[in-house]
Amino acid sequence: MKLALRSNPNHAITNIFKKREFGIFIFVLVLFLTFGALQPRFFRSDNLWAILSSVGILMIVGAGQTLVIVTRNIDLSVGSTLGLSAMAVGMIARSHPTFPTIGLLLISLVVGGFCGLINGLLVSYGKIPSIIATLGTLAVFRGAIFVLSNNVQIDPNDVPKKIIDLGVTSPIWVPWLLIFAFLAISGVSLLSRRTLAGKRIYAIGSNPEGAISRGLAFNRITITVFVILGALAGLGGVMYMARYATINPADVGRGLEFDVISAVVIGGTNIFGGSGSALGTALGCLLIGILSNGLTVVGVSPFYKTCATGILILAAVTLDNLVRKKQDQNFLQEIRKQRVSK
Amino acid sequence: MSLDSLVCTDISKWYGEAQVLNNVNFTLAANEIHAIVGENGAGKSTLVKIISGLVSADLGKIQANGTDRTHASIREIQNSGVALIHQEPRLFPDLSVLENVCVDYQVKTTSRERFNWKKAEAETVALLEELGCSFSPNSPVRALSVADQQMVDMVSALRKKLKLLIVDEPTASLTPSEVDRLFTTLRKLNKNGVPIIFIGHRLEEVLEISDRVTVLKDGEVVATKKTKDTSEDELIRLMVGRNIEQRTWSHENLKTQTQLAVNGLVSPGFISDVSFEVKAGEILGIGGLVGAGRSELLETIFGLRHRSAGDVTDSQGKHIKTAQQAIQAGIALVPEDRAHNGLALNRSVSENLIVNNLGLTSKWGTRNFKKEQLLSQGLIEKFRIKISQATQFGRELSGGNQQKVSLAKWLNQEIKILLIDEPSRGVDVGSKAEIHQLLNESASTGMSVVMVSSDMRELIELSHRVLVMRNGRIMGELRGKDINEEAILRLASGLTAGSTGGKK
Repeated sequence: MKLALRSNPNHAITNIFKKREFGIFIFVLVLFLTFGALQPRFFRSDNLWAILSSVGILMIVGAGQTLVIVTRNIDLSVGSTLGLSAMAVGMIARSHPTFPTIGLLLISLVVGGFCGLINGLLVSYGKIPSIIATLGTLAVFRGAIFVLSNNVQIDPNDVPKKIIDLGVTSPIWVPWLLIFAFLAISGVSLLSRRTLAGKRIYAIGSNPEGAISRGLAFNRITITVFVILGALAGLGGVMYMARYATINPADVGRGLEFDVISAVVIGGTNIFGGSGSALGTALGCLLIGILSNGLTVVGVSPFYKTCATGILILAAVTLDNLVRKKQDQNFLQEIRKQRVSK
Repeated sequence: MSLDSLVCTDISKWYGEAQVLNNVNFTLAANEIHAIVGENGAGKSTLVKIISGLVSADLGKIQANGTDRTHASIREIQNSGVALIHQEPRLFPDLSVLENVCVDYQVKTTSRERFNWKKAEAETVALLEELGCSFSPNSPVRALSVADQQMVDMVSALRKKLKLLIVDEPTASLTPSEVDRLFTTLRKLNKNGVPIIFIGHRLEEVLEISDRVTVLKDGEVVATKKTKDTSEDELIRLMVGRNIEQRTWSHENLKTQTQLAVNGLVSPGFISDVSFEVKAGEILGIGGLVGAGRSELLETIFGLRHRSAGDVTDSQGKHIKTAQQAIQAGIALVPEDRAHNGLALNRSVSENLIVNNLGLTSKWGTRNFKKEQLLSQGLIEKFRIKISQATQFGRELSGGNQQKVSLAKWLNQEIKILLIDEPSRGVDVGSKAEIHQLLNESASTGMSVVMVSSDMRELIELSHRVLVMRNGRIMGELRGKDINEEAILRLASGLTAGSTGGKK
């Protein structure tokens, strides 16, 4: 008996219809075309760039959150982490306007990574459920922003132009913000598809007891994903500064966790861990951006927007459940067919 | 290069107050296949879990290859090339077969060598073919059957640089041809210098594969024999070991009225086509090996598990489909896992006793604490539950007293049928006798008892009839004098003529 040696679906897009992200992709496409049909202005290139830019930060943070949720954890403190990093970097930029941008970016990664390290230690060695641990650090980090800034906000004229430029320009025709978003999504995607380390992240979320009994470094993996998310949220802080130019201690990053977790869940990541992809999360971010922008462009009252996002989450999760069930059935049938033909 | 030998010296292990291993000495020579046999609860699985680092021994020493391993962590042991293939596969359902096989692969941190998926896939395919598996390495493990999953677990062990392989009942869910291929692989592996510990319930398989056999009984080593010097009959005698005592209870007052009728019950994957009746005042024992579907049968009868066919009716012919209907019909279930399903551990003893009886002690939805206190005090005395005060928490009680509480809370009501799962697991000898007496007294007043037990003595002494299960089916019924350990064990391991070894 010879086994059919299929090309590994991890390496090639063998069949787009079998992909988990297919359902959400169709959803995005339909929404996109619908808004365009209702209001042709929606398709104008400046509007499309606006949509992309509006979800850049979401994608950067969402890429990290995907990994954390895959390990059966969740990080609610991302908004505060982003804020703390933005404030730290903003204060440096205010007092040293000539400080190199690359240095500011590195500092943001370190500040965010440190916040993530605290979360990771609390969850792994502290054995505190992540939803509680990060609820705590959400408040702690927010408090740290107030302490650090003495509740003084960073004003637009304190932010150097080269930072603002990150949100609009770059050596190539795509702004830095979107380059970073692309790097975050593709980096996480590569990690989870191609590397053993990535597979281990999925393994500990898929079967924690099994992972321990197979000798995987459970705590180290958990800490690592929190640090990755923290660092990405830190990077998001600089991007926030680039996009909004104002850093208000109370407002910066507030409520970000809602949008990020929504995007990850809409993108098909299982909230109970084990499965999900950065590509799905990117599509989830796009969906949120298109919906928000589209509703405004076609003239729907902003009051409906929040409601619409909520309904979207519910619809996406329902759809995802159906797709997953269908895929499981297909696999089962395929295996049964192989049996019969044997 | 491989472990010269594994030496376990004076290993003892307690779970709570129950001792599961008592001064076990076990030696594994290099290049041998060493089988461990014994009844349920003899301590086989605990011993190999200790060897593979999943649990630690309370007393004793483990030496592997001359070095002390007693306090090594799971990671150290796993990464040193010890693999345990357990009854339940240790797999990651969301990953593919290939990813499951490779996930714990060690890439040396010093070398710059990158992990090569193509090479790994080719190796995995080769191993899958060798084991005769017909699924692709890219199938998600979630979609595979239990038998196939076990093969994946086997392949992931084989891909490592193995120093010791432990297989814990690998054949339970395999067909005869799958077993053949597995054995060929094990022998080949052994020839290449990997010592193997093999735990099995089917004695003919044990005799076929092993070089030596160690018999465990009640947590102690009874004997270690060369396989060629022993026989199935001798092993069964050693496993049973004790003199079979005469039944101490008389069963004359057996009534003829049927209390519970189970007809063609099917729960996919667990129970297939089970039918039986229980008379009033009868204690029906259900024997069989772990995983034979006994607990699942009780849960299916009680309406906790999905059933795809079959019917459960009470004495009035009422159909019982849900747990609520079961309770209304006077059926009670005392589950095996007291800590999770039988008792609220963080609640007081009196609250645990009251919870099923709130109808008696409350009015208009309001609790009457005085009545509750009276009732719980009465139950505590009646069932001789030994506690310092009624407000003690459930988790502070001993296993025996916990079991009495989970029985007492039901038996205050008009229970016609008691379904009880492992009534004396983790229970001390004194409480065990009291629980047995309680069950007998209850039966003599007309209550029917359906009792799942792995304790042979308990089954034999208490039951009027014993049904023996295997792979979700009833293999046979034993009555009166025919109930003995040997007969039960034979039916449970599928040895009796006419039964087949495999599932299909």
